[in-house]
Amino acid sequence: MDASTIDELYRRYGPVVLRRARAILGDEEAAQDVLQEVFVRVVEQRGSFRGEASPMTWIYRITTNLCLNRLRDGRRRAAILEERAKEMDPEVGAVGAGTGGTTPSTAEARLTLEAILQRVPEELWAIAVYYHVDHMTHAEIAQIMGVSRRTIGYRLEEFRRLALAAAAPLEVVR
Amino acid sequence: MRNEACLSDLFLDRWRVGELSELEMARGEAHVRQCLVCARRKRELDRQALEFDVQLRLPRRAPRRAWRTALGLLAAAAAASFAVVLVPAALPSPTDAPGVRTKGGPSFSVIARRADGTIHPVLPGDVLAPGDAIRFEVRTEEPRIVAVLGIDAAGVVTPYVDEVAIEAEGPQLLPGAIRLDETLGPERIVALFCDEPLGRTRLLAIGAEALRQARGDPSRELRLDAPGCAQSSILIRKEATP
Repeated sequence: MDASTIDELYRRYGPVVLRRARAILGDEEAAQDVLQEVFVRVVEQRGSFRGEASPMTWIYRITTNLCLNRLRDGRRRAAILEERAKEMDPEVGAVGAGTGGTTPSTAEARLTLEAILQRVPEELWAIAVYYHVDHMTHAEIAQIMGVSRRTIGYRLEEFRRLALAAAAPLEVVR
Repeated sequence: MRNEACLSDLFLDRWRVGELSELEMARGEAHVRQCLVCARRKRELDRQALEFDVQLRLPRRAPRRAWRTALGLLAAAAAASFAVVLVPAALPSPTDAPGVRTKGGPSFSVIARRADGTIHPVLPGDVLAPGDAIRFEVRTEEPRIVAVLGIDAAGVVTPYVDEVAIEAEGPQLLPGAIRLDETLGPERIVALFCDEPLGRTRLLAIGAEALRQARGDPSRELRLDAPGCAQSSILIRKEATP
């Protein structure tokens, strides 16, 4: 992979990596670090990258994994979650709660990421990001994670259940 | 608000880089025609990608060019800090709505850096102030000779960018920056995309004739008589800052 190819890939996929890393991490410096890390992976794993039917999907997967690894280390966890919860679009959840859909309500959304880190297995972290940050369909998440759509449906439902459970103790009863 | 039928960011990103099949693209186009949320999101992602690309190509130093002497130079540091957002203007018709790119045609965008350091795309009718700096971004589908003229309310035609050869390599930021002078009122900035160079003298003459036909008012519809050239223009208004 020569310099011009790397440059072209960086221009093409760099903005996607940076946007998603910012959205997931909520931290510019960390997002810039992830941007660099992703392209180190691109160079290191160029065979795998080029073999993908959709290199963009590969980029999404690597970016998500690197971001979640950073979240996993826990050092910035509390601050990041608080900021992300505030930034989540309050309208995102308006469909799901009342209509039987799988998108969480506003109250759920505020606790979504915290619930993920505290209560759900790691594979749900990525699903939650793909669903709530990237607004992917079940089919797209299934493809990017290499599992069936049915599995995604189950896991999103599990996520929803856990998020609701996480929200419950914070409700004020008068 | 997005719903289940809406296009995901992944879909829009794959669309931008050309990974979609024809069938998928047709589905996407049909959806954004009737979904304002996805149309807006697509524009936003496209804009972010352009911004990222332009930032990569920002010069670290503004090259010294003779044509800028009348309007001054931005410091190299200012040029390097020019983070931009692009809104292309459609060609070839000068009356086409801005912000729409004609498939296959060249596009022209103006980016302003205000005295307070804020940077923003210039839209038709935007008010700028003397001392604000502007830069130009073009995109062509084939190699062209590009020139940019400023035609102001005092009847002065200024070559902002002398003719430069542009390759068909996607959006390209033209070298250098222009600091707007003290002339207030409307000013039309015109980009010409030509197959052959016209020469500075002829360019100035063409600009002056177009202004004469517009009765000296650059805010009127104004088209340069430059055969073989596509052109695009944007009208701004210069007002003194309070």
